[in-house]
Amino acid sequence: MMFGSIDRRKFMQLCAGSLALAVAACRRSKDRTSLDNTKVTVLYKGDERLLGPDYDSPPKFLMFLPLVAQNPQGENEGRLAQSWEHSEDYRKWTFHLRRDVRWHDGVPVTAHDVKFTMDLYMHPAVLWYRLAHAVTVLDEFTLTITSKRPVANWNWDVYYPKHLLSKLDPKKFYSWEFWTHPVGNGPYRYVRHVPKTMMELEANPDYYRGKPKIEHVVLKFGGSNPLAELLSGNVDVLTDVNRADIPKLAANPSFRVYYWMDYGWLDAIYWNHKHPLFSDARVRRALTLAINRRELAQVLNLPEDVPIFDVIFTARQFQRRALPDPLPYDPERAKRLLDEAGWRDQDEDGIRERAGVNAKFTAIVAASSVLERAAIYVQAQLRRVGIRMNVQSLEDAMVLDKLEDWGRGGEFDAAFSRFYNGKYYHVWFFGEQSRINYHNDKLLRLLQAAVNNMEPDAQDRIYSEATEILRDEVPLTFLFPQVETFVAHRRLRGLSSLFRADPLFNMEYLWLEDER
Amino acid sequence: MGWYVGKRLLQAIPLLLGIATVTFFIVHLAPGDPMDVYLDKRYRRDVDPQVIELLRKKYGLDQPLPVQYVKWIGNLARGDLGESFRYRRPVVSLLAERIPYTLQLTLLALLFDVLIGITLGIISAVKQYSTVDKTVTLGSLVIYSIPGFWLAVMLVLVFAVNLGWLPTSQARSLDYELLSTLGKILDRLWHLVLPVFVLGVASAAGTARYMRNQLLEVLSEEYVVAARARGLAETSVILKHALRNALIPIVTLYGLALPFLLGGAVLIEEVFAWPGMGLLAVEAIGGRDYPIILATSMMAAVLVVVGNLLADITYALVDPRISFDAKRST
Repeated sequence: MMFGSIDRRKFMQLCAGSLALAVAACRRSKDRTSLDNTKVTVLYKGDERLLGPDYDSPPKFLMFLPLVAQNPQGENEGRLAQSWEHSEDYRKWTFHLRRDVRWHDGVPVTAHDVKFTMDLYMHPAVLWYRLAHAVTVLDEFTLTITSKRPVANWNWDVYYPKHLLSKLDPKKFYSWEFWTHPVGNGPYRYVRHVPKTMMELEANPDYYRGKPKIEHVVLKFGGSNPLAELLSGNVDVLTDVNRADIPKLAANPSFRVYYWMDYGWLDAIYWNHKHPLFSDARVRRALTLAINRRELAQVLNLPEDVPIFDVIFTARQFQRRALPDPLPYDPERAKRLLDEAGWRDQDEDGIRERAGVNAKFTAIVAASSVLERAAIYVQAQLRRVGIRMNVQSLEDAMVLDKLEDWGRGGEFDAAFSRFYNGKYYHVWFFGEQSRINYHNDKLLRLLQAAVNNMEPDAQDRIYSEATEILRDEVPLTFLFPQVETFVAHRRLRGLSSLFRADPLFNMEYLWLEDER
Repeated sequence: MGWYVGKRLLQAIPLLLGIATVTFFIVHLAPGDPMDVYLDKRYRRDVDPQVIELLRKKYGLDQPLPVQYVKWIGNLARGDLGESFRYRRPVVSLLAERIPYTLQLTLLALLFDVLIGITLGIISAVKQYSTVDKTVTLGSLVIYSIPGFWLAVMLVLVFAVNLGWLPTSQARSLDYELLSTLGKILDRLWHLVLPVFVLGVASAAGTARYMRNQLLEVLSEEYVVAARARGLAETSVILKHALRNALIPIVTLYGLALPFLLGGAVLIEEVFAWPGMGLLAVEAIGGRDYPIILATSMMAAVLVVVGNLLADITYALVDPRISFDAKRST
């Protein structure tokens, strides 16, 4: 029926029309950025709500200020707050705000904005994952915040304008149109956005620390094919770069690679102490000695100076590199320790055994992750000392479930996963219901003391003491801190590893070099 | 026909209910608590437990699974798809933002499939054993064998990275808002070229092969020989007599093409950062965002049912031997 009325001429016309449309649609990219000397384009996963509460991510600091920020030495540095003091137990903080910070519409930022935001976070309809606080405004630029738990820093939360939002319905908080064209108080202000495509910001001329040198920042949404975006010149900056792409990008003279290490997340091998192999500290030490962690870092394209450690530590210890030397790579010593522990290869099949039990186990790891590659490397290393490790790749959520769930603990022999280097987690992890079935009362008491004592010197002391226990008992084998890698076009200047590596956090310090 | 469509839609209700039930329980039985996945189980130790409990209560995750199921089915019947755990916004509004993008992609890919697949199939059949036929046959087989994601990456590399003719990703340019109306239309088409091609080309290759075989079969029928014997022009014989009959089985293929393309779109949306429903679904699965997973699964199920129904209706329209009355009597 449909084709009955089509003759050859019409058919040819249809084909020609389609071709013309296709040709007309093909035009050269206008996204190319490399010649625009006023603009930086950053590829970032998300959409036009990126600066709102949907995303708890670094780009929000382009537009909004926290009370304090951390400087490269890991010390608090004022942003909205000019000065601050806290109670001995770190539960009550008093902040004195700067008087020269304004919202992008010209209204001064006051203590009422901070209180409004914190109350909003805790509103039953909002519940934005924050600790319960009581906020008291003492005057326009002074406030106190009292928390249920001690708080060490205030560098992640940002605050919103009360005068624009107080009349909106908190029940629709996450749907507010404000999030797609926000009014902030930071170094950059909103210009425009194209839904699901980009958001453009411009330098704020009234920013209290001075107008940033880079005039325009474009956040291009997406990220499925970042390498193509960078190589085609559509973006200047990639954040959180795939490790496999780093050697290629490092060798390309157009780009520079920067990295930052997150001491809060440590890659580790969890040994389940219920397993006959791992109940003996000598075996755990031997397994750690058998792994060449420096070479593993190279295999994973990690920076040459990535620290290796066997302990947990405070942020300050990490920043000062005050970490004890790790166990070295020493397979011969590892073999001796395994012999001492009674694990010997008596039947010469390449696998050690003790009392008829083979030295073999299964390690779970998140599929398609960097740790999966690490697991395969470790598998080969352990084989050399007579230990057979099978690698079972699972979905990330399943690994977490087996590892952490109270109701199902012990469903693993060993696991490659991330270890959260946080005080509350330490107490939980090394506590009575430890998921690796490890118990040490002295260590637990120390970690509990660290939770209740926020003084940096005291914390360093406590963690140094805990270090001795951990080095002795090796309850788990740590690999590396999480390394985030950023790649930027060479014309973007001012970036450096470690503390100026993230362009989004540091945009106000950066500038562009003219390459025309 | 109305009676037939009504009957089929009524029959679809228990089918969809069954799909909804199975999907609900499979999704909930998968390991991983949504709150844990969103917060990360380890980080959540730093979050006020009261907040987590309130969140669980808000989303009904504190209820036994059967209770959650009954509530979800009740809400689904009222058109309430719930609120995303990840985005904290109604799923309906999230889908409303995304569905137009997915429909653009899938419908244009379907159009590409129809135009290119059927045309090449006809040419191939008419020029049987010619160089054109051999090229189309070999080309179809090669294209059909290439994985879509690989083809997508290669095309991006050639046409976007090296030649710079086409965009690497997304549905619009960064300067979209500054373009004229015609410029905006062309910009949208420009961004559609690669994803539509990748999504449609494999189906078109399959269609071309199928069309060729069907047409060759029909061309050997006696009524086609009779038409030729009557002195009708070859174009008329092919387009008016043979093609219509050869298209009948093809129509049934297209009945399932839409859900098939929707499945393919998930991958293509990921590669091209196309802000459609597929990308949303992939993110939701990783994040255990149950309301979105369930809503997108139900959308796919509805599309399968509707696609089948459309195929049956079109089948009857194309083939005069089939009538809805005959179906009614069965």
